[in-house]
Amino acid sequence: MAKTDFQDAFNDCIDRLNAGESIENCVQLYPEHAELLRQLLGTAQLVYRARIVDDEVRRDQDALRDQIIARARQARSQQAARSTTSRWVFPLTAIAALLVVAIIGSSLFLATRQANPSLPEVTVALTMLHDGSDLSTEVAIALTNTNSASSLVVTLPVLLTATPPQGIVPTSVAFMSPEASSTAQPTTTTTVTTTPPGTATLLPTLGPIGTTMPTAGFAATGIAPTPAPLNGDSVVLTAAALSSLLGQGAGTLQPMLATPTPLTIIPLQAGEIDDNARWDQYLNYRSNYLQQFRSSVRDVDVTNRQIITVADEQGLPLLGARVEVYAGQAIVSDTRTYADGQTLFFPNAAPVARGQQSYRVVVTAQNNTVEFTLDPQRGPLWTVQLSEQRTASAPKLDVLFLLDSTSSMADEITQLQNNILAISSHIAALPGNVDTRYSLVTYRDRGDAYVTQQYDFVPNVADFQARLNAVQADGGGDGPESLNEALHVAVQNVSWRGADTVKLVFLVADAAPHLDYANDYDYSLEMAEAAGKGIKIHPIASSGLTPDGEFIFRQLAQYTFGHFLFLTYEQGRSGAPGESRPDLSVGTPASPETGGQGDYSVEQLDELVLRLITEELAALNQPIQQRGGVVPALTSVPPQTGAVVPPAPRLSLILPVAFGTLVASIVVGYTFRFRSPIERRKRKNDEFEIVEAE
Amino acid sequence: MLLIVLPDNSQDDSLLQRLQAGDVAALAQTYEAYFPALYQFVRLKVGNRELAQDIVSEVFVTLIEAMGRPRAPRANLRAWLFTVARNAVYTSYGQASRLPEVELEEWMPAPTSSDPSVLFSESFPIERVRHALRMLTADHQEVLILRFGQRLSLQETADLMGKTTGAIKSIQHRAVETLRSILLEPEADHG
Repeated sequence: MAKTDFQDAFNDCIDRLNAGESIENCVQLYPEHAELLRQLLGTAQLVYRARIVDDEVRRDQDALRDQIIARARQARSQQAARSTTSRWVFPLTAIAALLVVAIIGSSLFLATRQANPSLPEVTVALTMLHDGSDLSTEVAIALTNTNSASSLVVTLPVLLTATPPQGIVPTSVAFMSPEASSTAQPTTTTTVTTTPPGTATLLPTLGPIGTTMPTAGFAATGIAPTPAPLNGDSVVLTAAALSSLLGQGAGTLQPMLATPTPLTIIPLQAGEIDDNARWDQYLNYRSNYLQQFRSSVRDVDVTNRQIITVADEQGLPLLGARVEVYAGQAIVSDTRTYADGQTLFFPNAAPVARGQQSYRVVVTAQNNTVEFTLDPQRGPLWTVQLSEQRTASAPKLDVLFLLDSTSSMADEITQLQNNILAISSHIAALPGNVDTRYSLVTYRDRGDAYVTQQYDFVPNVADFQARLNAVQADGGGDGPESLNEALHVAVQNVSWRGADTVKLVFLVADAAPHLDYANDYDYSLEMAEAAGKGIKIHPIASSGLTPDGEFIFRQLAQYTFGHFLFLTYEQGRSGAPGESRPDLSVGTPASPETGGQGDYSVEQLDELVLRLITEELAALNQPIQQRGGVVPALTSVPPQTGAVVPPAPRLSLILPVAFGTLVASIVVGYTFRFRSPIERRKRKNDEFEIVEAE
Repeated sequence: MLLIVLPDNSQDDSLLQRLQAGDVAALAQTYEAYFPALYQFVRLKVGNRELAQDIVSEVFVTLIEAMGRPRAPRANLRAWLFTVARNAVYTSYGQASRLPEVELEEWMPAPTSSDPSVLFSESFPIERVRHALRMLTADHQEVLILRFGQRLSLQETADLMGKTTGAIKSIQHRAVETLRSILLEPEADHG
């Protein structure tokens, strides 16, 4: 893993530089990386140079010192005053609280003893493998002794302390029943598997402990630490605990596998933007980005977008109709309609198509072909109705998760796995007898253990989830990843079903594709291939996505009629789900509290993805006349069979709209003229406040 | 909840105990010891000098309010201060996704050096570096400032940012490469 080696070398050199060594000294230690290290360390030194001049620091330090110290003295004196007046409050409160706790504790203890007279003393030790950080959590463990029909639930806050402080180390902590006080010594381990949807069960496969291991095994359920135990975590039962249980219960301990307790899955939150619906804003974003960084992306010109909708004779959308567009004799676009019957054509995307007055469009469904001339000057919305009847059958759905599994995703991959597990379980439970298949493609980068790994479509959600569970983050490290190749595999190397299938890709990643590799695929061509197969791509941006990555992800979504999703976080807290995503250009979230509309809404990721899927399926049976949103395509006169409905003449809209606007303006103006008048007063800080007029 | 784990520092230990007891002299000592680093960190992130003063003041006011109380820093003073500063920056900037502009004359000139490896860094004016820094994502900016600007260790940086050391290794590599590629692009591209 050359990249991992390089990252270690780079990190070592940074430490050496920070300790005062020179770049050349460090580079000599890693001759195989010398040139790249020299370049990057030279760049890194620039950051140190960009620090503020010492004079400014000293001046501001001097300027603020007196204020800070005065503030501290003031606070201290206030504290002293408070403490004088309330000297007896705390002790009295503490005594009262202790008394209450003692009374309640005694009552519970006695009640427990009466309910479970044979309750054994249990000591259970939990071992978790984690990254070396101290972990404060709460663990609940339920133990059942079938012989005595007694049960015990122990819930205790714990602090797992890692020693040594780095690396993957097992850490033990003792849990005790309310009556027990023995200290645990871990002696054996077993594995906890996470069973979808988010349940954890301790398998009854404990190894022999001493001489008294129960033959039928032992199970603990309801293990609910936060974060949840995962594959690889271990739970340890001590010999003392088991012998204590056996000594008291004298029988067989049955597993409690039948009623697993759901694990707490930390729901990720995500925002959503449909750039095809906010077209003007998208074009602005696109234009601004390209003015600065055109060379960092593939510029596919999507201006002058045309939306073509294909319906059957009932006015229902036709999924999978082929839409070919010709400029002269050259084919310039070849796409399939999505579940809502729509597809996109971009006259400026291909050089050969650019600047044409009109285009010849051939629409082919199962039994019919219609041809018409598309003149972009007449408007962007086109509807074609074919004398076609759809066959009644269960909807087919192919869902592929395309997952970046490089180490930069390590922070989130576990949560994403859990969320995708939940999503897949929800999909499997969709009403309407949906014929669903699942596929997974993971990818890293050249030089890593693998570039792409594909698991072709399977109908069994459990098979898919088992594959997903096995994914681990590793490799990567140089920013962009092999997303080009991954898209190629996802679009072209797995066995998507035919035209009558709803096809969705959810791309989960935090990095742009490499655009500097020789002999690589090209995401802009892959997204065109996706549109050609009727595949929608919904990218889900994890944390740390660069501006070029955002632009490319939004290109993928926009071009394939997908939505751009992005995990959102609590402001100022890295990794905590919230509503903020300041590193992206997506704007501000809507605020239900203040009524602010915002630029995007935030939902739980699993709910958001599930909504996109259900909307896609629902669109199959939604007559296109009733559809709102992006494409109010049909005119009020139902089109004739086999006819093409060009966009309604725009003049017909101008007069009613103008008249309506005039009336609305008069009404609004009149209303505000005679209601409480307001005026805006300019403040010295250039903000405005609205105040009642005198 | 992840707790911040940083190497113990005996001087900090003594300061911590006195801060927990509400000792104003300990606050003064903390101010002298940590103001420059905190100010550099905040100033590099927010650009605006007055705002940086406000934010650093807020860090110390938060410390004052915590002194002598259960929420006073107990484990690692530096980590506590930087975490408060980091949160204060985010609170001040809200949804702002880029660092604001800064005045060019406020940045130190490039030091001269005979080390050939430094030639690359010397060929870029500081204002251009600042401009490029502002174009990075928040995570990338922060790793660069903490790791290279403040010279924090990998573990300290990871703890402050709530990430694993592996993730920081990856991010620092990625951030430097991105910074370099921005710097090597023609200046006009960055407006």
